[in-house]
Amino acid sequence: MSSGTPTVSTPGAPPPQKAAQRLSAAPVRALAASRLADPRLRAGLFAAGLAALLVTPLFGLNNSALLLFSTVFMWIGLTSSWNIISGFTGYVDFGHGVFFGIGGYTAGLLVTHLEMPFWYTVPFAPVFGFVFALVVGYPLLRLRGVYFSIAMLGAFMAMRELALVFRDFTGGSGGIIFEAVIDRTLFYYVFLGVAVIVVLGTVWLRRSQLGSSMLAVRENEIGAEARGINTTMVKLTAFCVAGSITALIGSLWAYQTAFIDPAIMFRDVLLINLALMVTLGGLGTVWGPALGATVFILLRETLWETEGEDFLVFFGVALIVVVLTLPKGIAGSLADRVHLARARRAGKEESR
Amino acid sequence: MPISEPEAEVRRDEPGQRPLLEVRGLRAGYRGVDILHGVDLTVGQGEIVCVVGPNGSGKSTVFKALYGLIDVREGSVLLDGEDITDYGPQRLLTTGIALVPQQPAIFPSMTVHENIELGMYLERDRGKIRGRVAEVFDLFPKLAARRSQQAGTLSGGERRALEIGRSLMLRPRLVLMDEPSVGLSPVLVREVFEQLRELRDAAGLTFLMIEQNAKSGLELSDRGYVIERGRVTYSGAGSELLGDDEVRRTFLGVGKDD
Amino acid sequence: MGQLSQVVLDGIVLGGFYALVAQGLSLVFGVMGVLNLAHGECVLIGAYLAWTAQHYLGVDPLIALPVIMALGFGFGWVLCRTLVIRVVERPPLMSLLLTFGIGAVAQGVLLKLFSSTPRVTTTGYSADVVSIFGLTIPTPRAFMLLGAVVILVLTWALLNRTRVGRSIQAAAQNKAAARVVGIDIAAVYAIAFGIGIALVFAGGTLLGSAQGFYPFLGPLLTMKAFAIVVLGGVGRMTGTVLAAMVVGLIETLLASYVPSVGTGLGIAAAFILVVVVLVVRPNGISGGKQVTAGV
Ligand SMILES: Nc1ncnc2c1ncn2[C@@H]1O[C@H](COP(=O)(O)OP(=O)(O)OP(=O)(O)O)[C@@H](O)[C@H]1O
Ligand SMILES: [Mg+2]
Repeated sequence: MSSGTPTVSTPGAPPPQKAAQRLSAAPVRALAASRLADPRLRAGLFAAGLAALLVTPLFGLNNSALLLFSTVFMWIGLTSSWNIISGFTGYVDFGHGVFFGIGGYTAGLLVTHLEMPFWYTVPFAPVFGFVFALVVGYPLLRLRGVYFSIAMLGAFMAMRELALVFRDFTGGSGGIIFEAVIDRTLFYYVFLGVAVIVVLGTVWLRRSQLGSSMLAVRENEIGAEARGINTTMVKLTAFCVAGSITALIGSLWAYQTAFIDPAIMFRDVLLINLALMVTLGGLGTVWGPALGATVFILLRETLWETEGEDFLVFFGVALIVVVLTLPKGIAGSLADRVHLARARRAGKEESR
Repeated sequence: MPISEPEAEVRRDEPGQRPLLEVRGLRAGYRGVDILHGVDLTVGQGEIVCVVGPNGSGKSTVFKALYGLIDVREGSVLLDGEDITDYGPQRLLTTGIALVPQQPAIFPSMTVHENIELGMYLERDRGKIRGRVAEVFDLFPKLAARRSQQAGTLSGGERRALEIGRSLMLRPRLVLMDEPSVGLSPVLVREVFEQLRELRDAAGLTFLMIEQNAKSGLELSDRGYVIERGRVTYSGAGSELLGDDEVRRTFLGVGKDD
Repeated sequence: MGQLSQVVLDGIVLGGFYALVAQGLSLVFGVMGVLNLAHGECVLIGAYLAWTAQHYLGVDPLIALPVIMALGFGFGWVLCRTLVIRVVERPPLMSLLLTFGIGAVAQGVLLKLFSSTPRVTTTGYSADVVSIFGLTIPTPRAFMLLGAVVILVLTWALLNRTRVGRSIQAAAQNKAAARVVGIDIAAVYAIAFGIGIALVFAGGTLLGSAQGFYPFLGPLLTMKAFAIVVLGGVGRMTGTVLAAMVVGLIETLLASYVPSVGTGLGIAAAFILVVVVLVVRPNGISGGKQVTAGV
């Protein structure tokens, strides 16, 4: 060949028999997972499960079983609301426990200072949670990811200090005692209601315009802003919604426990639990937080009585292991499988 | 048509010139995906070779694989006969290959002088470093004038010059340059390219570069390669590639403009 | 007036300790982008090491200091090579969760080994005081300030006058470029993390003989160090030292002039300061890397 013309070789298509090989190797598990992705099936499962949970107490569960269930529901509510700010917008809130404490103290202070009946105070907790989120979120949500996380940790610790220091107002470390309500069935339904509303709300949010904007903020905030999304608004909304739900749960929990003090309303363990449950289930997924909360609480209840030193070590190790081996969580890894299976099925259709 | 043939042709064209760099069947990529599906390239001693191709075709990936920043999954890379396929950046630098990456590669809070010095990070002899810094400043007098300025405050063209100057500190045999003209005005591009030619002629350097600006890149080069979707689809002398209608239409956008 | 200058001196002493601890956090954060949530626990490990050395072996903390720092370097190096390195170039949440987990483990282990009872490393000079210009400092606190100053000066020299320091700074400024000039980034990470932990182990050692400590103090120390790093601007050593002094001063001023609430409000004060500073000057009091989202 003379050197006068450049050589040309067309980029070859991948050999066809390779695709066939890949198909036959598709694991059965992935197909099963993909079936779970069918929305009708999921809605059906959800309704059936909910119905079962609604009637369960009628069959005379004992108090400790009721408490276990309501604890699971409560954590589903907490993790799912935390997921809205931390998972959807990517602004991981390491001080989310502050809202739990604010909720509890809203109820406690209204009951002791204004002598309101507890149930009248319930609407105030989310309102105060919302206001606090607004006031703190406006400056702090301007911070980049990591800075926001630890600044919230600061907000959390600062509020605990305030609750301890202004003891004339808050009762300090002596705490506040409520009139005890020992109706476990009542709390079962209350927390079940909260969990269902939050989870369904998350499902709705994920499909809404607002939810898409939150994900856009997580993926690329500057790009989202450039596309005309009001990122400040989106972040604040996520934060305020998450904060008010958590405050509501905090107030309900305080009432159920009938006693609050800074150490239990603003406890560090809340953070590690939230982080571990959601990471385990799948941060930023719709069902992951609920899944993680359920798995975690059931495991914890069977393995540990108290949250002492052994608990710290065990769950610290668990967190490390989950981060290193299952960074997308159960739901995230499952979703990956589903995508893979879908891609494979699509490949099959194409090759026909 | 097998791609190895024209390579042999080129070598036959210029007898006595043995290839400095030989890349054979390079396959590489990122997490699970292959980007390069068997790339073959040769660069002769003292040549300026230019790689062009559409965005995302895998040009920078070739450099990353050569430079050990990502794993080579298949194929081999020889430098002057030495198998350097699995060398990391440190070994490559001491073997005589330097890289000027596509992304900004200056240390913004250090002075120009300190940036240049870091080009010889692997050398511990301070006297030697001082000598080389002086040489590089001789080559780039404009940089010398700004030696104690913070690199972060340099203009785009000055930064590129700084990166190129720094890559020469270890006296490499081969310099890989990923889009040296990126972000530069046409005048500056010409200036940079003239500098490269001078360096080649004066110091016997060999350049393998990637150019987005295919026209000026190929004009400057002895030979060129076109990479599309991870494969070499055209190769030949720079002027020939420029003259080829298909290449012009597809990759240079020349057909549309004039 | 006499009282004010005493309070200021106390604030400076405290600030010296904070500077040491915050510098460790800042270094790791600046180079690796990892915010070590186990930082405070590492201070405590240093403190308990010194306490153990004094209590069981009768070794003075100041003599044990170099050894403890070497242990800290080794500990940080191993931690980085085995765990932290796996999350460095992943989303920041991963490193937060990982170091959070490490912190929980450390706290649990410290509780198991030493219980939650506060400890102080008592030495022969524990009850002595030093006086300068009519002001007095307890001798252990004087050593704390002195130690912090010496170690910080050495750290500055290491970072700015040596080849290792140069490679650390290069990696902090541009990782891709550092790789290109032949710097082994993984090694730099391990060294930076090692230095960071050595600094906090030293801080813990010095703190331990000056005041009581207990396992739950960890998150508090992490928080303060973080507040200081943000105030001072990441990667600015002078900024960090300055901010540490400010936080130390605020704390002692609050404690002595508003004693009813002042002693319990360390974090709250630092936090409010951080929020104010971030709103007014997003890059910290001395400039440095931008911390806001940039939109
Ligand atoms: N770190 C990475 N991880 C995953 N995919 C990557 C990564 N870097 C590049 N890619 C993908 O590899 C492909 C080739 O990228 P490469 O940078 O080699 O393109 P290029 O030819 O240099 O393009 P350009 O002219 O725009 O610089 C692209 O599809 C890109 O998205
Ligand atoms: Mg490129």
